[in-house]
Amino acid sequence: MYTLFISTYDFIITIGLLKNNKKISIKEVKSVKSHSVFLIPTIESILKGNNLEINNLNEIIVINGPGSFTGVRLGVIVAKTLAYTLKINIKTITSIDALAISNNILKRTIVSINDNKGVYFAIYESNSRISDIKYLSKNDFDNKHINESIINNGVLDVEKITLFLKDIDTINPHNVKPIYVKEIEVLK
Amino acid sequence: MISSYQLKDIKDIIDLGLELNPKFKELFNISKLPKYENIIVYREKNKLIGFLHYLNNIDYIEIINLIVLKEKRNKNIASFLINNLLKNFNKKIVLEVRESNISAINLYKKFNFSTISIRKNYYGNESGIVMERNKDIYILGIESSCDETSVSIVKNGNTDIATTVLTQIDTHVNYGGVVPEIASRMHTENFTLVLEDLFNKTTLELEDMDAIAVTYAPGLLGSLLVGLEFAKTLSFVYKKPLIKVHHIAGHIYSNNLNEPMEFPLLALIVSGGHTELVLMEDDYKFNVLGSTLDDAIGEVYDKVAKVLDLSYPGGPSIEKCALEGNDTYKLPIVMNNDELNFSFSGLKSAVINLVHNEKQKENTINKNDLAISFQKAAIDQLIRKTRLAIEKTDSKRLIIAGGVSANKFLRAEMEKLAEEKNIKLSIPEVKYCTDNATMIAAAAYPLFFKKEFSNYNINAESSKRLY
Repeated sequence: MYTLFISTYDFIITIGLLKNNKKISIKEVKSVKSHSVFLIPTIESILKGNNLEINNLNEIIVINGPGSFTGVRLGVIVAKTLAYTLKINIKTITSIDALAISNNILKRTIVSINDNKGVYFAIYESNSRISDIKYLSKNDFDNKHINESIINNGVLDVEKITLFLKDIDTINPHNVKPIYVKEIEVLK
Repeated sequence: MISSYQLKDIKDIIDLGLELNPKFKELFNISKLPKYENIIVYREKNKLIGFLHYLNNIDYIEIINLIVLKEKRNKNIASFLINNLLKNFNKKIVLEVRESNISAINLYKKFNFSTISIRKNYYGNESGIVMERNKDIYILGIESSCDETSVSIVKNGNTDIATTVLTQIDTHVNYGGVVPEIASRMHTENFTLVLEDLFNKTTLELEDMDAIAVTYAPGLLGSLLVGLEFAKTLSFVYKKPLIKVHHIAGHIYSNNLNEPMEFPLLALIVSGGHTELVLMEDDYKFNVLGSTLDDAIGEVYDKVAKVLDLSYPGGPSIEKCALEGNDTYKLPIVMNNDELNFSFSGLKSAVINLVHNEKQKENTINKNDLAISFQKAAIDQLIRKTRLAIEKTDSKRLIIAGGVSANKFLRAEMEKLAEEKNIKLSIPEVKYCTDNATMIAAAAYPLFFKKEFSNYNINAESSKRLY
């Protein structure tokens, strides 16, 4: 069973290819405000490099945010369109949960990612999330969570993430949506 | 009534064939046809009335015989048989017909066959006409440059097979204009649903498409990117060429959905971002004769609507008020000169100042009257400049394109101008004037033949110009 992993929530596009939940290939591309230029070509090249066709895929995993709004949207639209047209399973995971799972957290730890103005974060303990995912300005976050154990902008472990999602239900591709967390001005 | 032949039909087929050609039996002397050959038969109460015999080659179909019983001719039976063939195959079709068989030749012409060569004296003292009908080209169009999520299938660049447009206007109207971030979000949520809705309207499938066309510029960047990425994914999965289309080219080519544009022609492009007069010598050959020096016409409609407390978008709401009003307000006549450029900021300022002054004097404004006075002044400038361009270029054909071409007053005034100047006018149907994917697929058609296909590394461009 082949799984395609798609992450586009920050300036690194991560595309992973797994066979029976084991990583067989991973590509990371640095892309500043040009995810559209790199996303499909990276998927194309990882498949080609492993002598696979797009219809060999059985499952899509996509990080559906939070992070760069546009980045997340592009990952999500590609993932849900692949799942819809290929009629294969799709699962989503948040960027913060994905980073937490990649790190095996036992004692209380904050997992966070930054954007240019603030911090998305959630609190984890014994490998589970014990808070909602929130967004605070950099100053507010620093004042509020001083002296706490923090993992910031960690590295994704696609195998651990895929394994974690093994028993999670798939979603109807139409219902796959980005999560944004941070409110936009007009909606406040 | 229509079916593929069975062995028991062979005798009837030969009998009918003999009516046309005494040598038919010799030409057709096998009892079972090879796999690549087939006969579609038409029966009435079990009696064989007509048949169509064809060869199914790898990349084209050859019609060998099409025969209908003499007393049953002119009853569209031949058309039924041809239609059945077209329904089953989207391939090039070739055939050969006697030059004296005018009714058959006319029938084939009706089905878009055209003569490609003549076999001189093929039938002794009579020539054979070789006719060909090209395969139909289906293009899937995708549009999301602003607040409409749309997909469409267009055949041969001129026939709308199916279209779905999901407008977000009910959401954006709450904010007094399109909120780019919300537009991008809604496109992301809705594109697969819109695609499903489209293919529920037709028996065609994505595999039947010859290309995927998408608006890549200009527009809201975030919205364009979602549509572009959606299009790239479809192109990648179905291995169909990707064609990038400029939104304004889409508006222009929506005129092909009326009837094919003939060049050279003069085009007036009027939208929220454009006000231009363009001379087109050929497909995708644009020579800009004049453009706005400041605001675009659609933009001014929106701004005037805002000053009058009318809802967004300004075009329809001003037009609605204007219907109830009398042209009582004096507004300046702008750009009354020999140039082909436009200017609307003077008119806009005049309206804004008028409203402020009246408010200061605590006078009430008659919105309906001001709406019609503004509309008349704005459209008058479009008419004047278009008339000037017709005279300067001696054009015989005029097309209007862009969102503002939905304006009924503009349409009526343009028709008057066309009559005055004895010029052929084309304006898209109102449903194709607002943003839609049909026009994108139509605009991709000439690019398909130019093989202007894109790689997956193309990016969206929010302010790229067409010309």
